[in-house]
Amino acid sequence: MFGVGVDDRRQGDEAVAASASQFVERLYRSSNSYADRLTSEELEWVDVDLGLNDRMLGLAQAGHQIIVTGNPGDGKTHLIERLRPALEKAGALVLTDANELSDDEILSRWRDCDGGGRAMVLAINEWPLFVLRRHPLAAEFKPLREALRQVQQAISYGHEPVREPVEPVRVIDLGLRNVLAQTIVFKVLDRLTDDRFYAGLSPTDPAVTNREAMRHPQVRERIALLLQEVARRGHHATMRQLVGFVAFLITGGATAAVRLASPSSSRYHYAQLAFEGGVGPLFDAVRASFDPATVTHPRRDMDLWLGTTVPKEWVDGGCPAAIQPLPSGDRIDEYRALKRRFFFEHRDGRSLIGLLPSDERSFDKLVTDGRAGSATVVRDLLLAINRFYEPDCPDTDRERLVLWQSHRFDVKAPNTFLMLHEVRHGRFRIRAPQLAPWVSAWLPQEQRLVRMFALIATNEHDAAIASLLVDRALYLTLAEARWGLGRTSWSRSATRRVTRFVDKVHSSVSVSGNDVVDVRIRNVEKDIEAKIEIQRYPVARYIL
Amino acid sequence: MISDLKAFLNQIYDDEFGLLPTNTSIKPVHVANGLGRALVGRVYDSDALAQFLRRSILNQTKRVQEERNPNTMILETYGDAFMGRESQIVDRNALSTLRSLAEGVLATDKAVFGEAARSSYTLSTETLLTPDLSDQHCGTFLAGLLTAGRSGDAAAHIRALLSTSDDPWSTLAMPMMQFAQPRTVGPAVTFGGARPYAALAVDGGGDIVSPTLARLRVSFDRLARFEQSGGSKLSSLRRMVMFACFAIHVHLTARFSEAFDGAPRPPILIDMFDGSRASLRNASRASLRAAGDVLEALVSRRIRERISGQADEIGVGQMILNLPERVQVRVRQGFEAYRDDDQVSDLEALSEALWQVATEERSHPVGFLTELGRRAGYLTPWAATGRGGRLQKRYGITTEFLETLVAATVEPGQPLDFPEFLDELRINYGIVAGQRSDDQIVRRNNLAAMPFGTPTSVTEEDLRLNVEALRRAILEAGYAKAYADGQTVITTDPESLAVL
Repeated sequence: MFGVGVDDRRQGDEAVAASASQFVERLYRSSNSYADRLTSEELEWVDVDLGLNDRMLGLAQAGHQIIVTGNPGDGKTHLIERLRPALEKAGALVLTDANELSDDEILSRWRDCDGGGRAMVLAINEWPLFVLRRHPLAAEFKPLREALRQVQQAISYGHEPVREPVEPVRVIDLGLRNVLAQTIVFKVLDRLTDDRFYAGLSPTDPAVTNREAMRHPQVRERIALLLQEVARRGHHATMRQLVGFVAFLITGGATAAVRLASPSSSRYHYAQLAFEGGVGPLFDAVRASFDPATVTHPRRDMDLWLGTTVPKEWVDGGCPAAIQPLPSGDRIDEYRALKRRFFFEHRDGRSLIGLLPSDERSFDKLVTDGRAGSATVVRDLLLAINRFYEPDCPDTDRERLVLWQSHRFDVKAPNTFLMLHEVRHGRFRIRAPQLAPWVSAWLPQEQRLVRMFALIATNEHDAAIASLLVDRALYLTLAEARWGLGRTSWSRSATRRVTRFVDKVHSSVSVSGNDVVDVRIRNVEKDIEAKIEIQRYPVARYIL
Repeated sequence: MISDLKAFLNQIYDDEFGLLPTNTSIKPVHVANGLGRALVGRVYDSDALAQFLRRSILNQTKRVQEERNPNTMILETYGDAFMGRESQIVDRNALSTLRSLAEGVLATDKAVFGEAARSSYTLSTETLLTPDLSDQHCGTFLAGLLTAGRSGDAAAHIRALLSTSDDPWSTLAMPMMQFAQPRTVGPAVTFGGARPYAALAVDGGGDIVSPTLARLRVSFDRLARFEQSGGSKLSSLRRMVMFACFAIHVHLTARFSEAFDGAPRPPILIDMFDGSRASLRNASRASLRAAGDVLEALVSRRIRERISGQADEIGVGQMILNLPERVQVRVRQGFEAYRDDDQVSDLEALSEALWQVATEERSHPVGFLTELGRRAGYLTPWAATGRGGRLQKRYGITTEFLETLVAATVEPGQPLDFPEFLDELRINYGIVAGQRSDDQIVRRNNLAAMPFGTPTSVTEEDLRLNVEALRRAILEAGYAKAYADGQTVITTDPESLAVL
């Protein structure tokens, strides 16, 4: 019989420890589906129950055809694979490998389930689901049509209630959930800072110190706050991105040997890693959203520079060294690192978020406090749109949308603009997004995030004729316009959205009933503006 | 016998293209006027409006503006169009201001002169249609395209747009239009002559036989369905006309390949950058030059076909003697030069000489295409600086043209993914942006599998960046959704892509 020696056991333990820590490091580097690549044990290590398991099982037991869709990386396969035994036990056909199956196979099996009254669970990305309808087997196949309707009508901004789901189809679009919600971020932090990944690592390994810091309640709260800011700014993160982000904060995407050999004390510090070195859409979004190093704090900056902060205000109870005495070549880098650490580890760090421009704060208040529905907001938006076309228009133009038009067939920029119609502010409404019933049924409140509202134009019968979805970027652009900053600074996207909205409003107004109308003409080249009165009926005349 | 070289060439153009690519001052507004006229079948003799708008006319000799239609004359002749605000007296200063502004509104495309027969107003309603023939049969060709087999959505949409007059442009013209008399125009004007254009022949099911024209027709009707869903009248009209100009470009450059098996069809390589990527802008310019080359090759071939019988009968020398004296010497010189230099047959040398002299007398058709494309927005200066911009062009894209292209290519409610969209652009219009599968097309300057002319040099990196720039431009315009795995979906209903 061969025994296992102490050395062998130690080497074995180290190997296991190394393997477990490398697992976290690999979570950052991998872009493939976890469900395809991880063992069931490893899946368990990173699994975060988002409250969907019971819902899925209940639907399957009731014989529903469940279509789990969303973006790649949203966790569709992961979710279903973990539930597969229970779903199959409930009699459901489980199809998680839609990429491997042909459209023909998917539709054939779906039709079989539909014909036989069998429950089905299908994981499929949003676009392949749309493409299914081109297949001959999709013709007249009502469940597919209903699934597509449920995807397209998941959110609405209109007056009309969305029709209830048609049995037995239920769509669960994981793309609708905000995985950067605090509760989910905390769960991912819990998972990836678990003891199993750190046994046997050197106490001086930055991954160990990062892990310790990231278990501190204040640091966890600040990480969640940072990601909340990213979500508010419109980034849709997937579960895979979130897990990769947290894994990078811990390991820097490097092996333990590399981390330990790092000459810089702050290079592998999680507060640095949150803003530097990470590659991927979520890292880009973080950098574009908020970096403490670029936010000036009127009081704290000098304290940090001089090293005069109060020790007990830091999570580790120590006062960081002053920056000022450092060699001039090191000061900038060290100050940047310290300012980032300040955000996470100082009691007053979260105040940096509050120092963002006021227009950004006001948008957050609008969508979160529900003030978007107020008449003042409508008027402000109308003034902003009017100033998009006429930067020097008076404040009184907030009472109406002035429909300026240009028209020329040559590609040159027009130099003359006409206005025949205006629409009073009373014809505009602000609408918050409404979730369809089948979405409300599964999407937990804390995972919902309102990123935009709609400015709706209505006709005299209060029916919607045009809508402008106002997200943060457009709101900030409109805010600039309201201050008179012209369209030269507008993004192409913002310009086209506003133009399309005004265009649609235009298409639904008419003057046919009016005998006399005022036409305002403005020639920006000659710098002439005039209002011309024109009698249309019974005899057309200029009234001069 | 060729007694009139201009008429001889025009006949070839009309037979081959259904229009005359001879006007190098062509403007989209001319196309709008011609298309509207051909679809509606009426024009208005609106000299009153033309005179109202053109108070002064440029004296070409003295290079000074001369007042031709003073306020006094306007008030005396068309007094019923004016009334004083508080008395019978019309404020003449206000009238001057009105006329100055109105010219910038209804004549903003710089195609209005002192009489309606030579004017194309910035079109917004039927009553602004004029007898101006500056469109050179483009309108009749396009109307034929939109009504071949059966009147389609695009024809119906344009007619509907022109039937209303409640927009600011039409309202501003209204008082002067009471003096305009409508006149029905017959097939000779609406369809260019008694003979229908052969390439617009339809099959038993009422579909156009020509693949290129059939696809253009489908695209036109698709664009109209998009417009019917909510665009404002004037924007909609502008986009329809913009696409009409582009359709003429596609039609002319594809014609050779449809007329002769195996003939080349150059691609339309759009350059999404500002001319800063040299290999891309040069390749794009090369594809435009190839468009001129195929036009030349096609017309030369048609000339040869038409004169071959006569050449056999009376001989090439006698044919030259039968030409008008004005061109005889030049044709003979050209004939001899071609025959000696290129070692070609007498017939080929004569047809080349005739083409050369004809294009000296009248501009090369590519000049027509270039001017129309420049003014419509899909041709742009080859280089941002120097003389390259004025003299040479490349294919570019404005945001409005891009939107139009998306709406003409993607059926409402039926999005396409980005590679599918690129394929549709190539199949329907010959547009390439620089996918891997486009590499050889760009290098051989031919959508078919044979090199055409000198091989084009272009870097693959620039082509790929060009594709990415196109993708980003569509995303920024709001007509696409990008998924997390890099997939991009193109749609004409951007609002439906919004998420919570």
